[in-house]
Amino acid sequence: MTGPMDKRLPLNELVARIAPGQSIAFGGGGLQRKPMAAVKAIAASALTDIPVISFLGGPEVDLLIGLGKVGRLSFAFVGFDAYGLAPNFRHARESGAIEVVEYSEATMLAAFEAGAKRLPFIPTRFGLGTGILATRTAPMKTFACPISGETLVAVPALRPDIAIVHVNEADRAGNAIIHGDGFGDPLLVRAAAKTYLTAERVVDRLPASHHRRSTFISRMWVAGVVEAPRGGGPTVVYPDYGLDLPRVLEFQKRATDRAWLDRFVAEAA
Amino acid sequence: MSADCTLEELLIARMAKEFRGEAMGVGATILSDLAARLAKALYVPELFLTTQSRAAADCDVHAKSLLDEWTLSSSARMALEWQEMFQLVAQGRLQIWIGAVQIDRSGASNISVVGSWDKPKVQLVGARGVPDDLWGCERLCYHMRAQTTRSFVEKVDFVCGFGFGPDRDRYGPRAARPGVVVSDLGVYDFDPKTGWMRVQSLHPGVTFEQAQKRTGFELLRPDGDVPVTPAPTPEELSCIRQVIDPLGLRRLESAEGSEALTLELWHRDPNTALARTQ
Repeated sequence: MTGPMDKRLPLNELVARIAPGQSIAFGGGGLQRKPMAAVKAIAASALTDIPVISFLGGPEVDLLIGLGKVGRLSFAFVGFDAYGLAPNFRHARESGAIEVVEYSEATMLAAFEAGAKRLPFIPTRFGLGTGILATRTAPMKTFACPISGETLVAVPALRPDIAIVHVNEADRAGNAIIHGDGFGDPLLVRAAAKTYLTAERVVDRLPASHHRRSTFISRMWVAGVVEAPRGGGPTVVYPDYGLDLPRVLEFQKRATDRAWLDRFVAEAA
Repeated sequence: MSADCTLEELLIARMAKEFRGEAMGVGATILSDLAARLAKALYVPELFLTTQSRAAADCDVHAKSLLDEWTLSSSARMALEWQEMFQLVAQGRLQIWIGAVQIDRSGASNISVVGSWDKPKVQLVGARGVPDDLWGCERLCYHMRAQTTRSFVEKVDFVCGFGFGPDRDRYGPRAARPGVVVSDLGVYDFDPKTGWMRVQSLHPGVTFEQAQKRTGFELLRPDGDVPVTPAPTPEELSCIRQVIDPLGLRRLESAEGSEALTLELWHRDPNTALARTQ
C-alpha cells in the first residue's frame, strides 16, 4: 500500500529538473499572477540561452531578458499593462540582442490548442492579412481550406518542454484553483510536456466545491507543486494580494541596471 | 474646452455612442473603458462588460478602480474563459476601442513596433489581440491619445489591423472595417468611396487647419462647415463624475497624467488597502 499521491517539491528541485536547452513557458498575463519566485530561482541558476514562451509577458520575461538568459522569445504581448513598456525587452529588441517570434493572442492560443491535441496545426482566420504572418520568424502559414476553399492560417503547435503557472491554491496531488483571470493557462498546461505549479498555499485535498468564477486545473496535467507564498509578487494575485505598484514602477525604471536587477533577484519574494 | 466639461469627459461621452446591442463592450484605454460603462449605464443596458480582468465578466456598472478585480467581483456573473472569448470574437460579438500608437490614412493600425520589425526603433508591446479583433468585429474603433504627425501617419510601420486597401480587397468583407477614430483634436471616420480618413467633427475650439497640421497625411474635409463634437449632457456628466469615475482615473489620460498622479490615485483607492491586508 503506497501513501497518498504527493507531488510537492522544493523550488530548487523544480529548477534542477529543467535541462539545458528546454523551453519554458510562463503563465499569467502582464502584471497578473506571474510566477516570480520561480523565475527568480531560474534567474539564479546556471540555465542560459533559454527558449521562453509567454502568452502575455510581463516582469518575468523582462527580468530573464535583462540577465541575458533568454535565447528566443515567443510572445503575443510583453509589457506592463496600463503602466507602459517593458524596459529590458525594449532594449534587447532595439539593440538586436534577442530573437523573437511574435504571435497574436488568438494565434498563440491556437498553437497551445494544437499542442494539447498533439496535432501539427490548428486552422484559424485570426491574424490573416496582418504583419504577424509576415515577420522573418513567423511560424504560421496560409493555406487554401480543403472544405471551403477560403484562405486560412495554419498555426503550428507549440509544445513547451516546461510550463510554470502560479495559482492561488493547490493540493498535494496537483489539482489547483486560480481565482483571477486564467489567461491562456488552461490550454498551456495541456500543451506542455511537463507542468509545474507554484501555489500561494498547498493543502492536503482541495474541497469538492463549485467555484463558478474560478479556473480549475486537474492533477492530470501537473507534474509537481511548489508552495510559494507571495510567489507572484510584485504582480497581483487576486484576491490574495494586490499589485505592488510602487515596486513595479521602480522595476520599470531601474531594471536595465544590472546591479539593481541582481539585487531584485536575490531578494526573497 | 468649455468650462463645463473636460476634454476627457467629452471623449468618454462621444466614445460611449459607438456601443450598441448585446455584445462584449471593451475599452482598452481608461477613457474608452469608462465609455463602455457609461454606455451600459445610460444607453445599452444589455452590453456585456469585460473589463481589465476576464475573471470578472458581465458585471454591473461600477466605479472604475486601479484594482478593478476587487471592485467588479461583487456583481460579475461569470469568468470569461479566453477560448470562449475568442469564440464570441469569431462570431462578431465584440465592440472595442483600441488605443493604437500609429494609425494611417486607410485606417490600418499598429501597436507592435516603430521602425522595422527586424530591428525596431521603438519596441512597443507586440500585436496582442489586434490581428484577432480585426477578424471578430464589424468595426475597429481607435482612441488615439495625442494626435501628431507621428501617430497619424501616411502608412503604419507594422500592420496589426489592416484598413481599406489591397489587403481588405483580397480577403473580402469578413474583416472589420475601420470605424471611428477619436483624438485630443477631433473625431474621424472613413470615406466609403476612397477609404481615406475624414473629419467627422472637431472638438470645441479646434480648427481644420490645426488638425491638418498635426496629421501626417491629407485629411478629408466634410462638405460645408466642420461640425463641433457635441458636449456631454448633464446626465452623462453626472454619471461620469459620480457613478463610474468618482476617483478621477480619467485624469491619467489627460495632460496632467504622470507617475506621481498614478501613485497618488493608487494610494487613495480604497481597494488598495483592501488588497494589501488580504
